[in-house]
Amino acid sequence: MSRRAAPGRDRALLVTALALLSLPMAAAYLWLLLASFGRGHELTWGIFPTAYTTDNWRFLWDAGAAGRDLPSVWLAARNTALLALSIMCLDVALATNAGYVFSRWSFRGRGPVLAFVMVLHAFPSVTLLVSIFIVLLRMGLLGSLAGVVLVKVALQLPFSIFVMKGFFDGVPWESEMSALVDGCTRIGAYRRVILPQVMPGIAAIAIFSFLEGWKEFLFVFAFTFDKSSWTLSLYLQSILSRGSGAQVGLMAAVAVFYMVPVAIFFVFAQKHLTRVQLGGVKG
Amino acid sequence: MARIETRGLGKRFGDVEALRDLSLEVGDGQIAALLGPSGCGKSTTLFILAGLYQPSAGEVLFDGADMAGVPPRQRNVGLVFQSYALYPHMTVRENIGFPLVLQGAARRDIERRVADIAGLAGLEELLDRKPSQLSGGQQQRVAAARAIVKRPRLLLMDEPLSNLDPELRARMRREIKRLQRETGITTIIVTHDQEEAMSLADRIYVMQGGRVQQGGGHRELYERPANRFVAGFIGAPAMNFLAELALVRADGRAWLESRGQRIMPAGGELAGLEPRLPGAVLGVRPEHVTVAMGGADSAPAGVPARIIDIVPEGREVVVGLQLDGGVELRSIVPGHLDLQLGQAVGIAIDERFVHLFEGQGEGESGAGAALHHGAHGSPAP
Repeated sequence: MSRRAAPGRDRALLVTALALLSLPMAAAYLWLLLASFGRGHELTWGIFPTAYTTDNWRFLWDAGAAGRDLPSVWLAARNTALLALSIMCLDVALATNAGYVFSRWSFRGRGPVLAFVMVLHAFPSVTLLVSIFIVLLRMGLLGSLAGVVLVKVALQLPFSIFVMKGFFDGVPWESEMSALVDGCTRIGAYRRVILPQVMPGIAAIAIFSFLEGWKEFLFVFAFTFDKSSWTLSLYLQSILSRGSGAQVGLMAAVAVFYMVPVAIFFVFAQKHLTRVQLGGVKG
Repeated sequence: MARIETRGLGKRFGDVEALRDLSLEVGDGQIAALLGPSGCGKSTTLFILAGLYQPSAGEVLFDGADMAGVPPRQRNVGLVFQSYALYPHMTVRENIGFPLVLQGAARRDIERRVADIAGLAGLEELLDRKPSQLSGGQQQRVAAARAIVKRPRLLLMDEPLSNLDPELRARMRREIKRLQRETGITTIIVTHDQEEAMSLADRIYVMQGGRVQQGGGHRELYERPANRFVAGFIGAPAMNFLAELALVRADGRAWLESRGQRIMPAGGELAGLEPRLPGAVLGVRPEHVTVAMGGADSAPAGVPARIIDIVPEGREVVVGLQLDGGVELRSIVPGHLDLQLGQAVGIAIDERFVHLFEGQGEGESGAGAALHHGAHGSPAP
């Protein structure tokens, strides 16, 4: 499938339209970045602060600067990273293997199970809050981030399994058969021949589940009770909820701090997200 | 190198019986072809031989040893899929070396053997490319190299030439034959193309409906087809079939009729077959139907017919003919003749080359068995 280059005039029109559409978003991010270095509330053209300072960023080295009742921002950052990575790893490990089984094995009830998995995905997590609270309580997992990890993974799995099943469906049977004839065991074929071919799928669900973990607020808020379990989402929320005492510059700085790792991650990951490989089978 | 044998092989998929009572034998170092139309069960047979499918009935024997329950990786067979099934994430070098890596061979050994095979298959320049960067013919050679690098006892190929364009096909045919001769590996090829089967294999098994219809060399299949299916499948253009046969006596001679139309004079042999004519079908190949043109003012000799179709094929022309009673036949004539649609000609069928088949069905199990072959085939039973 080839893409025809849009003729000059159409292309210019397209670029202009896209630029206009992204202008509000770009402006918002620009304001955020500038505000994190801004002093006071005065703005030129609604975006540029009139005075600048690095005071807003003091919370990076002075724990009490953001507020006396807050934990260290680095602790929150560490928790956020651990939460996101744990969710990512567990989700990938389970969804990949489940996707393979759904794709390759015919077993009684396969259709219904698949449909059920999809239905699970439709549930807004908020509606399950109370019931999950009780379950975690009984399991003794309340108050720890581990409980949050399990809940997040459970809610993320339906989507991830479906994506992985789709990718496995795209690997022809003959690839596996060829591996078996070449000398692989079934598991060997899975590891050496099938998995490498679904790497784009694994990358996709890894990114999605990582981001889900990174941005999570509600479950951390509901199921943990100690400031030592705080993630950056709670840290930021705490600052935002101060009402009249809120310092715009500080809020912006914390928000930027929260955002930066993800932005960097995306710059590197974009290459993998847009590439889909189809080679190896004729045609 | 191994002698391969199957006995009474059967395979069911749910309610569908894909193979029925399949028995074949391929000698050590021979090439055999499983020839038949799509869906006849030939790929299924190949996968059973490789150990990818388990048979529902019957046995598979490698050098007399029963292969039941033996997984593919322990059978030491090479398999070239119709789609080649190269591993897209590996280079050509890695693809070819993969079976050796799995055997745990030393890395230097692997490098050497991959290089040897690549040389044999003309792939030296391509070793660091990925499959997506190769043409169809190149991919096929890589797949073949990967199949034979581990020196298997049996090489299986599923439609090896069908994805290639005609001139590449002729070249690859020679390559495959050469490779097989040099390595001496017992080879079984599956194909729907009789030309491919005839040119590659020593022994051909014609398959239909999950069964072997006939196994033998090309001449045997061509001159003495065991049933109507084989007779109609082998040979292009296909054999002519005439039904509703009857022997009629007039003017002191005997004639063979089809659907009430006089076809040919019946000599002693045909006359002797009279009791078997009811319900039987006469088969005669186009090259044994001769066409005579009339002179300037004389009618052509032979049974009168009109040309209804002309298909030029360079050296020869295939003509469709229609007799007065509506019976249609095909004949092959030299390409230089001057022919026109609607032209009146005379046809003659060479009695020495006719076949007679039981009338029932076409390609069903056991149906349409041969009752008689012309003299050039063998004495009548």
